[in-house]
Amino acid sequence: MSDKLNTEELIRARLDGAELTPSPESWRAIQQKLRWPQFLRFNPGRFNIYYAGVLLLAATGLVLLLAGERERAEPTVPEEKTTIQSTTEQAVEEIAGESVNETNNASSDTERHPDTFTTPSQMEEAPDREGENRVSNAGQEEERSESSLTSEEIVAAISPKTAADQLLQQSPVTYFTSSIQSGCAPLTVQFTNQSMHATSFYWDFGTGANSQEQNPVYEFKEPGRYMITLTAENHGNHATVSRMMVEVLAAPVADFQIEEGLEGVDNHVVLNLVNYSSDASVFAWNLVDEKCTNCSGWSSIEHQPTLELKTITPDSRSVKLEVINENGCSDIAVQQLPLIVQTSETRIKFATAFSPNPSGPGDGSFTPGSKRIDLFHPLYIEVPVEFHMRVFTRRGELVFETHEVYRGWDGYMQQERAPGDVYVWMVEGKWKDGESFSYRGDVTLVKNQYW
Amino acid sequence: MNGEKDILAGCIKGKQSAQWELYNRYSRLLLAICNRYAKSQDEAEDILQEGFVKIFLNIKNFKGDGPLLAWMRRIMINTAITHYHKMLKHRYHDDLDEVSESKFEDKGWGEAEFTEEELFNVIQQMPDGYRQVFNLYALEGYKHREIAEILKIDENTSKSQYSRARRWLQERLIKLRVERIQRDE
Repeated sequence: MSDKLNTEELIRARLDGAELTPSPESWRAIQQKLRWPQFLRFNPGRFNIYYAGVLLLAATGLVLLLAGERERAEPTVPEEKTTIQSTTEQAVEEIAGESVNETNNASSDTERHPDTFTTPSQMEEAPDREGENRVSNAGQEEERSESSLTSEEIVAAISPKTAADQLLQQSPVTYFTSSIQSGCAPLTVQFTNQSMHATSFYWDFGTGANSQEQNPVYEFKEPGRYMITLTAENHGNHATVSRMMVEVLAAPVADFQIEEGLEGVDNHVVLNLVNYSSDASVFAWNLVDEKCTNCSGWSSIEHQPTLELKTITPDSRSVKLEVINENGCSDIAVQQLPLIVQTSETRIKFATAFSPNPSGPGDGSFTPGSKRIDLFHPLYIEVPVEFHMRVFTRRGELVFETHEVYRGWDGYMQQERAPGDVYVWMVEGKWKDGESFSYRGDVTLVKNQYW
Repeated sequence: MNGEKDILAGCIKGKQSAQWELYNRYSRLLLAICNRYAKSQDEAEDILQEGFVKIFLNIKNFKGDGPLLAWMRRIMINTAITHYHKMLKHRYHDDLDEVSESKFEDKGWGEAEFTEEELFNVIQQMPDGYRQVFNLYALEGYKHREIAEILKIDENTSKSQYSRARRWLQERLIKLRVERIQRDE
């Protein structure tokens, strides 16, 4: 077979799979051409400013729309229950002396500064003004003293009679108050419905939950800001909406455990208070009695303090932990002191956890009477005369062995850091009195952040 | 270096780094293809750019039913053909009948006889009509019926264009060979 090629073969052989390096301009040109199509293409991963802008516009439109709806349904969500009343009073006062236009101005002023209104009681304390009112409007006094003016009457009093207002009067007046507007989770809120001309209600708590009760009670479990929407409807299918924001602040959870530490040689009981609280920034520990909160005088603001007691008598004392977070929300946990059964036979104790020194292995020796957190070693109430300690992995590999009483495991196996895990230990030996002992148990190697 | 899957995923998200990876990987190969359809490398780069824009904007439609390169290659060729159609009205139409019959027996090329550059040049100098048909038939493996559809020409035109393109190429290559021999002497 000839190794000569015909024309197609030649071209195919040489140009199919050939490579040519594009000029650097090509990449730039591609990126430039891509910029607009990619920018305009919706991409949730790269939520671009264009779409953010469109959404913002839409949101603004919606807010304006809702604001319009709200105005129509005035009075909607006044800050205090008295607002309706005072608004009306002011408006009625104004209407007596001035034109309708100015009434409207006054009303809108009221809307803007609901807090600056004079409540009826304040007005009583201002006799001058009261007098003026009396003079300027004879029939008013009577009306005002009747605090049970219905809103229908009020609307009738202040509004010119137009077709639109007729419609307005038929629409429900939606209005509600809440027992609390901001508080720590879980927040239970009692809503009080003060809507008028409404036959049915629909509450949306902003959590996905809803209610059709008139005065619902709702518990907000999760922290967040919730928009509560009350839609009131009457027979004529007119619905109006009122909204209120309720803020539920994140609350901490107090939780701790009392762990029996190791006793000192002088028979002190050391209790480790292991803190499991979450979302808390301030901790306050107290030893409390049934009778008084801090009889013992012991208190601590450490994260995990130790409580040292001379003896533990079954006196039903408790450890109280109060935690507080940045929101000022708090939680309390109380644990009764454990009844530590101290038998005369207890001559040796073992820690259930230790946290080795990450800087490297040591020789594992420790001072008699001391308790080392970075070693696994027994604590002696009585020092044995014979001693043999072995530590195994859970699979049974021997990682440490000693016959020395004052030597513990440093958490290293063959100069390498042993993994954070549970290890099994076996201790055997003989006491002074000739009695031999054999204990076994497990210990957790707690990794710290450097391990 | 990321795998093609990661690059693909990144390109679908519109990540520039992934686009660059893809471009960096395949642009040379694709430019060589574009170069066969163009009159010059400048034009080939225009086609390449246009093609890559299409690739990046449509990569989410890539079904993964075949190799990515084949898909990109198809886009490049389509782009080249579209480009050719657009350019057609602006171009001087070569007289296609100037090709004389060649006596050369077409089984005489050594594989290394010409450089790639020389071959690219020859192809780029080909009359437009010849070049498109030759590329599609000899290199892309399309049938004349398909080429007729792609180029919007008659099937017989495709066939005759192809045989003329072939002869035209042969002549050019002979010319190149003669020039080289004369240079060497």
